Amino acid sequence: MSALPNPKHSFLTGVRDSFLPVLLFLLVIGIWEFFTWYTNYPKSILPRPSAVVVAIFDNWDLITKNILPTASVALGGFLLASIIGLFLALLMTWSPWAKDALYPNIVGFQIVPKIAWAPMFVLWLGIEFESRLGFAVFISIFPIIISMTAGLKNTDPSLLKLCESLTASKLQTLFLVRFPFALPYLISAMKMSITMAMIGVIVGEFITSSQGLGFLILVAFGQLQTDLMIATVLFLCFVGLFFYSLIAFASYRLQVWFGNQ
Amino acid sequence: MSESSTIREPALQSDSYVHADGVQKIFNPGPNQTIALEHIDCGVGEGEFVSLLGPSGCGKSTLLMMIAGLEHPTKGNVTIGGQPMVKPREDIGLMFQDPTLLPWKTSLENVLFPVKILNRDRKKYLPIAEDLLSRVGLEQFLDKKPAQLSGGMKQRVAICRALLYDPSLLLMDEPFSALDAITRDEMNQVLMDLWQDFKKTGLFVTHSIREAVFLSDRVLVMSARPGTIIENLVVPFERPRDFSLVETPEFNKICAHLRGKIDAQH
Repeated sequence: MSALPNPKHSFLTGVRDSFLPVLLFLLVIGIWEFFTWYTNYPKSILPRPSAVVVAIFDNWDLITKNILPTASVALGGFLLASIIGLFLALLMTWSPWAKDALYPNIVGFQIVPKIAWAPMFVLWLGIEFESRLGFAVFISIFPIIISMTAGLKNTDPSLLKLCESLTASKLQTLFLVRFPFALPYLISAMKMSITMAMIGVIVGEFITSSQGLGFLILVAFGQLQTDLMIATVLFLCFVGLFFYSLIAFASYRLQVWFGNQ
Repeated sequence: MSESSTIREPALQSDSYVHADGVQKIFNPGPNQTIALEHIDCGVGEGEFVSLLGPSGCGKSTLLMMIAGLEHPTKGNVTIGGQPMVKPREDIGLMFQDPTLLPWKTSLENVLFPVKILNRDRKKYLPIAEDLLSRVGLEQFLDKKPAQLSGGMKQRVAICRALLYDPSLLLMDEPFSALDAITRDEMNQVLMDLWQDFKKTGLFVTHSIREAVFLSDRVLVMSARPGTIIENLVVPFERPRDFSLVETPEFNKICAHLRGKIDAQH
């Protein structure tokens, strides 16, 4: 009577799923390495992958000390965006007035290329981390608001009728039913949002900063140290992946809570 | 069982517990209005189990929702126990086509969900919830979440939830129509057995003639839109009933009679 377990993966599908992407990646790196070596390509334009690895070890301290300024501001921005976005979504679900006033503006704002606002944040919040934090919040809050508002609205109508028939208050329905039902929406919005927050911080660092991975990219760019640029971008990927995997873990825990795992 | 021995009664009973009087329901009043229900006069006596039988879209669910206080009649009124029904009441249990369980809660916690909403004493209702779940054969599944239950099991949890407060009236909106035929028969028996023990007043919406006749003391047939009640038939079988009943000629004769009433509409 209980749900059936997933059909057993054959050994071959397992091999295909895990090795095929790695194989393709290594193949591209190999071609890159061979091409740059064979043509003796200028390393200031396209360094060999092996040179990037060497640059990582040569600049290890420089790179690693610049991780924290970027990662902490991105994470802080993301968390603030999640909390404020969640609050706005709850407010708009609770009050039709708030929704009518806010939602069209938020959707309208969403269409504007938000990157264009970055210099304003420097003007308003200064050249320290506050402007980058503010911009990260600004750029990463939209997925949270929009997705969470949709999630809070999409609750099973029969379940809402049940709550109504039990004479549940609006707040009870919101927090005991609508909110937990919308959590999967929140998680998938967070996956988008953390990426946006990273972008926000890098852009902020491009504009004005004296530390951080975005700053390091600009420094390396100025000195035509292309291998260091690529190495730094690689570390940005690692930071992004780390955050993403934290959210993926939260997503997994949520699935367990929903009884799906 | 001949046709004449099925007793016809006036639909409006003065002593009925649930009472709909001249009910009309219009959706989107205006040039594009839909008259969902017209001239509905009916009653359900205390302790009686009545089915509302009709084709899809005849407004039977709308009528049920009005009795639950979740919809309001355009004209006429609904009373329960003499009280006009204007908003939902706590002493009414409700079941839907979907089990409408909370996926993150165990069977037991889902049954106890009304306690949380109404801030009642959980300790008092815990043994009641456990007892209900074991009555429907789910004593091994108290701590399972809905994803681990079959469709029939989920509806059993939903029945237990509806019965937790010992409601005076149980309203069921096609609760078994999403289930496969075998599970559906099983659920009909489960409900029949529960009824034997609890003796509630019940109103059951269905489009299955067989289900209506098997479960009910009385069947009200509704016409297609605008929905009106076109037949009021007392089901004469003794309780407790079991599934051998559906094989009897008397049972099938009643079903055929109701089928004729529904078909005459087209």
